[in-house]
Amino acid sequence: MESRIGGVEGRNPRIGYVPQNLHLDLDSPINVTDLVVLAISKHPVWIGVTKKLSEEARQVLSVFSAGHLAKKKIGELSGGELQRVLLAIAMTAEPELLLLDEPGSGVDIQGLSMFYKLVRSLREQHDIAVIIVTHDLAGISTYVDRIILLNHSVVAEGEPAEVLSNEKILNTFGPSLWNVSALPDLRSLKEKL
Amino acid sequence: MIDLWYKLADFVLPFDLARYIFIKNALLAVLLVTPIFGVLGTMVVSNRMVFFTEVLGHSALTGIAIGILCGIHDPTFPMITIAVVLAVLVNILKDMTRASMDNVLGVVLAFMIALGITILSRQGGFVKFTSYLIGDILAVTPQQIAWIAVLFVVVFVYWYFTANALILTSVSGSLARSRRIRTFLVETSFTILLAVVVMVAIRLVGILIINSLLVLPAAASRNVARSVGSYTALSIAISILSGTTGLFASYYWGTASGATIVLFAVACYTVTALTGRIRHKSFI
Repeated sequence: MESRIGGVEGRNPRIGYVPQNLHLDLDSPINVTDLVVLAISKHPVWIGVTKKLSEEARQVLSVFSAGHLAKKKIGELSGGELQRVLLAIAMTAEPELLLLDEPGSGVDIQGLSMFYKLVRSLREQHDIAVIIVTHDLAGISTYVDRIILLNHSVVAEGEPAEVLSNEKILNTFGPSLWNVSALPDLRSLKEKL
Repeated sequence: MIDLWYKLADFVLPFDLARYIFIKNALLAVLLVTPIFGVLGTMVVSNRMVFFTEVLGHSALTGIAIGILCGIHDPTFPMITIAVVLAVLVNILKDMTRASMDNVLGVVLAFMIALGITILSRQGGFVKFTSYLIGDILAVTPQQIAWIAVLFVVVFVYWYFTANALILTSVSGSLARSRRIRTFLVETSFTILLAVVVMVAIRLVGILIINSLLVLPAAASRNVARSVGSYTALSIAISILSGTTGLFASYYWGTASGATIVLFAVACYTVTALTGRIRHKSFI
């Protein structure tokens, strides 16, 4: 990732942020359309959402194949569905930098790898930088350019294959990484990327 | 202005009620104050501030007491001051402390009540202040109604411009901040407005039950609402409905209006709770 974002030095990048879904108040009587409208317009949602805005929201969602979720309350979504909705909302900011906070929480393994693929295609299409904060080292390693291992400070940094082959790190970071080392051939995967 | 309302009320009210000016005043006060409660209550319930507003209501005792110590005749100003200070302090504390807010608020509640009663009960004088506990909506004056009308406008203008930020902050503070919403400012301004509303309305419905009026309509609406729009609209509707039916019932039964209104609000809550359960096929 380049240190200069958006090609202009010294300017704050536009950030798209996907919060950790466990930190969301899922009990709220708020549906997916409301949430999207909050992001794309200044129209006061408590008065009710107009047809036009509702249609715009559906369009935003349909890009992430979430159009059918528009009328659902956020508490009724599965982990993966909620993650897609939050990603759709983050992208409405037309971000230069996309921040994902623990996208793995509450999402099953299959859903998560689909989600990672989605993020990767976004990165390619929109030319954005992506930072993912995660504990899911095993899952993420095939989708990213660089891994930075943090434990109070930077413990290791580099390309996935490099970082994950370091035995000292494997010992420190324990079982989740051992799963990674058990992957058949990490280097060939890396070449594919 | 008020004369226009009196004329209008002659058409709307049945004859035996329309004879009394105080009923017309009370009805107008209810029609102005219940939508305010309905709309502010949605955020109180969403943000889990129910205990906080309980504390806020009881801080009126301290406000009245301090007003008397300072020799101020009308306690409204000291009441509002104490409540606003309390609201801001609690909001700052909420951001600073990791201690359970429940415990902190419990201590503040105890302190506020104890301090208020200690001062007010000097020389056995507390009886004079019991009217604040229950309130008297039938004694509302046109001047008080004018203040409530001003508050009505302020609240709805504020809500028009700020509710979106409040809602997003309530769903996810970090998401709101990533959208450049100044969450502390938004939340603090809301609690200040809440403090003022509660203090102005306390004369009408009393310290003991003001929180029920703030919380019940929104809580009832939440049982069935599926969007922010329906949540707000239904909360306002339930608030107005229980307010007016409760007022009329209290007249015929000769009971305290505030408490009677609360009973109707509880009935609404029960109905929506059952409806919500049946709809989700998870009855009992």
